[in-house]
This record gives sequence, C-alpha cells and structure tokens, in this order.
Amino acid sequence: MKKGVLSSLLVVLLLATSVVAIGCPPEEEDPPAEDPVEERLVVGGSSSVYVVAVLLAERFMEKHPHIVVETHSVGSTAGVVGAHEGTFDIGMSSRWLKGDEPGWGLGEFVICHDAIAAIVHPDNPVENLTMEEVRKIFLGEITNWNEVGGKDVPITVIIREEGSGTRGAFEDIVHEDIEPVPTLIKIGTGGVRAGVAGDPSAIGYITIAALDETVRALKVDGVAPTAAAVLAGDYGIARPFLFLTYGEPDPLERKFIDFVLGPEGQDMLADEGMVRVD
Amino acid sequence: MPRSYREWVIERLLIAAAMVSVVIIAFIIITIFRTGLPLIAEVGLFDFLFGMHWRPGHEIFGIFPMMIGTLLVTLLSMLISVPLGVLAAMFLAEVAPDVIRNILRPVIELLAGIPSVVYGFVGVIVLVPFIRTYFGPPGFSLLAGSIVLAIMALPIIITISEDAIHAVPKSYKEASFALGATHWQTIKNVILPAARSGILAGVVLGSGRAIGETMAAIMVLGNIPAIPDSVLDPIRTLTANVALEMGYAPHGPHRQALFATGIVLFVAISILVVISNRLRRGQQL
Repeated sequence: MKKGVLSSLLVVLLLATSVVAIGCPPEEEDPPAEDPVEERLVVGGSSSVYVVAVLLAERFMEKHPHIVVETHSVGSTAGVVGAHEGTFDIGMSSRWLKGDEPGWGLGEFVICHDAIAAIVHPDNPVENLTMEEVRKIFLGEITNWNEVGGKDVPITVIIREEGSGTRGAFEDIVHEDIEPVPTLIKIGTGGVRAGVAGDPSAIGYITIAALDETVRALKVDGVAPTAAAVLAGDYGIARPFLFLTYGEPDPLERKFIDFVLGPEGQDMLADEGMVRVD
Repeated sequence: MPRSYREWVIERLLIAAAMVSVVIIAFIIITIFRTGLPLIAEVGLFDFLFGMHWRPGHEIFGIFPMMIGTLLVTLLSMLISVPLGVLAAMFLAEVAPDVIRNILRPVIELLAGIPSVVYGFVGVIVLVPFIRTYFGPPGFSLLAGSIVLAIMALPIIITISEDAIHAVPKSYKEASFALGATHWQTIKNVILPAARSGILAGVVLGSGRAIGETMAAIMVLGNIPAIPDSVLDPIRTLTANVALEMGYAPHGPHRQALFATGIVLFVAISILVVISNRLRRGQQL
C-alpha cells in the first residue's frame, strides 16, 4: 500500500521534472498552409469598444470565413500599449491618445463617436440631472438623492478602475483633474452596469452601446444620451472609439478597418446607438 | 550495480524536483524586487508605506489605506473564524463519534477546495444585498469581505488545529481523567494548552490565506483605497490593488508601484510563514 503511494508519487514527480527539464516539447504544430490559409486577427482593448467590436467581428467573419477575429476586453490603456507592443494587431481605445502615446506612431482610426450615459437603477425616480449636479455627485459634494429631487437615501457612486478609457473620458469632461469620491470601484463596463442594476441608490456611467433594461440612462441638462444629441452637440459627455494599428495597417488589418468604416459597419454601429463617422 | 545506479538516478530526480520550486521562488523574488524596488527608492519607503493617497494617474503612490484595509479585513475575519474553527477542531478531535467525523472531515476538505471566485460570487449575490438591505448601502464592505474570508480560512484553521490536538500525547488525557477531571475540564485545561502552539500556527496560516486572497476580496470589498470609518465601508486590499490595475499598467511607474505592492505582500506573508513554522515546531517566538 505504502509502496504503491510512493511509486505513484515518484511517477508524478518524474513527469513533472522531465517536462520542466526538457522545456517546451517539440510539439508546436504549425500546419503547413494548404487550402485557403486561415488568417487570424487579434483585436483587444477598451471594454466599451469591445461591446460593439464583438458584433462587428462576428459579421466580418461571416463574410470572410477564412479569417478569425479574436476580441479581447482588457481596457483602453492596455489596448493602446498592446497595439504598440504587438500584442494586438488592432488596439481599441475609448479615449484619445494621451501622454507619450501620440509619439508612438500608431495608425489611428476613429470608428465612431460614443456617448457616456450616467445610469441609475430603473426604480430611481430621478430622471434628469444638470451637468453641475453630475459633477458634484462624483466629487462627493452631493451625497443624498434628496438633494437632486430623489428619495432620502445616500448615493452609491460607482466608478471604473484606474486606467479605464470610459473613466478617463468621463473625468476629462465632467470634473477634469479633480479626484472623484466614489463609493465603489467596479471592473469593466459590465461590472458598473451590474453594480447599478443591483443597487437602487447607485449611479454609474457606461457607454450607451451597453445600455439595457436593467439600468436607466439619466438625461443631462434635459438631454437624453443619443447619437443624434451628440451629433447636434447637445449632449456633452461624448468621446471617440478608436482602432489603433502599429504603424500603417497591414492588408488584413486594413480589410477589417475598411469593413468597420464602410457602410455596413457604420450601419451596425448606428444600430447600437453610436454616432457614425461617414 | 544496476540497483545502486537506479538509486542514484532516483535520488537526483528527487533533488531536481525539489529544486524546481526553489528556482521558481528565486525567479519571482528577483522579478518583483527588481521591478518594485526602484519605485520605492524614488518615492521613499516612508511615503510609499504611509502615504494616504493612491493616484497612479498623478504618480502619487501611497499604500497606507490598503495596508490598513488588508490588516482590518484579516483581523476581522480571524475574529470570526478562529473561535468557530478551534471549537470545530475540538469537536472533531475529541467529541465527535466516528460516524459524524467521517462525514464532517470530507465536507471541510471540500470547503477548502472550492475556488475563491465561487465564494466571491455567493458573497456578491447573497451577502452583499443582505448587508445593503439590513445594515445600509453600499453592501460591498469590510464586513462582507471579512465574512467571506473567514469562511475561506476555516478549513485551514480546523484541519491544522485538529492535527495539533491529535498530537497531544494520550497519557496527558489519561492522567487528567485519573485525577477526576471531566472531559470538558480535560479539553480546556490540558489538551488545549498542550496543543496551543499548533493551533496558533493554524491561525497564522489562516490569516495568510485571508491576506493573500484576491478574487473574492475584489468581488465583495468595493475596492476604494481609503481608510474605512466603519465595517460597512468599502476597502481595498493590497492584493486587490495589484489585480485591479495590472491590466492598465503595462509599463512605467504605475507598474513598478504594483510590483512594489507585491514586495510588501511578499514580506508580510514571509513573516507569517516563519512565525507559523516556529510555532509548529513548538519553539518560542
């Protein structure tokens, strides 16, 4: 019995050490290209752009069965750096390039403009806030819904994690360089939406592409966040969605970008509530 | 000859296996210290450890609120799990009939095997709304995190404490009975003191688990890098800090600061492991 245990342990150890010692076994299979080469395009970055990029990629793959488009939701900053370092063929960002980034020589394509909606729980009676009220809520100067015409409950302020494109754009537009005073920090667009959907006293912000029935978008200064309002300049909390390539896009990248910027891609984006760029 | 040769090969293989973990640890230590130390040097150890503000966008790196957060959530979770765990271990080792013990043991082991994300998920779905409804918003809080981490530390505390109680020589117990002590008096006055250092080792390892836990912590703690006013306020732990921001910090001082956070964690956990090992060997601190 004991001997059995020992010897099996030994076998496990032997296997483990041999794998480590040999390193990567020579199994890297790179099947020689025969019939139409399967091409792979890796797209990653902003979790806001991701919401629409998944749809675009699906349609694109239907039209080009030999091309596989992988989409990754990792955040804008990682998208920009990923495009620069080659992790992604196309990086996605939901804010303009900033800091050192413009000097990296990335190919920059605005695929659409987006509005950021301030969202609340569907049961919240508040429908409209002024930009000043939004600002004060996120800076912690207004802390109870009754100060803006709601119930007497403390406001749960939910923001995104450091480095998020949505957070960067929202802060630039709404309260510039001042630090927000949040109650909670959530990861990703979905995290904020789920957080607001689960808390009747919460306020957060997400791209209008990610709005659904679990949350309600507030009007800001009486204007609902829509593509039309952004285009007319009436809704102020808007930002671009960017595709970024390392230098000039190669033919495969070009193909996807052309599709997104073309009539079909733009129609799809408009259907998601985005502001088209064509 | 062939036999001694085989012995020789097996011995080397065993050494190699043992070396693998040493090499890995060495690599990890070198990486986190090489990346993190320059930032600590630049910011200053005092400002890094005791700075009240964490604003990576403005290159202000102070982890004090997160150290306090980690400390509080660990202490509070131990406050919940240590009494529960030690009592459960006493029951398992001394009181429980074999039938019950044979059911309880695997259940507790199962508790240890559940992935942390599942604990976090149950916390978000059940515990957080409960706290929000009955104690006030936001629900994501020090309290929620402490309860979740307490449950996660329980199996460690129970199994190690139980081992320690089992290790008390039978003669102690028999002597106590012979002097006319009841079972409870024996447990309280003889077995527990004799098993003390082993139980403490379990508690220390349990707090190591609470300090190191990341996923469940991120899910229920709210992640605000500020010192809480009450148990109902959200906090951010050191581990959560690294996991939350690493995706956004692929380079530059922000990334170094996250590695520096890792150094602080590494030092804290090392201290706990050393303490726990000494306790288990029954040495004085």
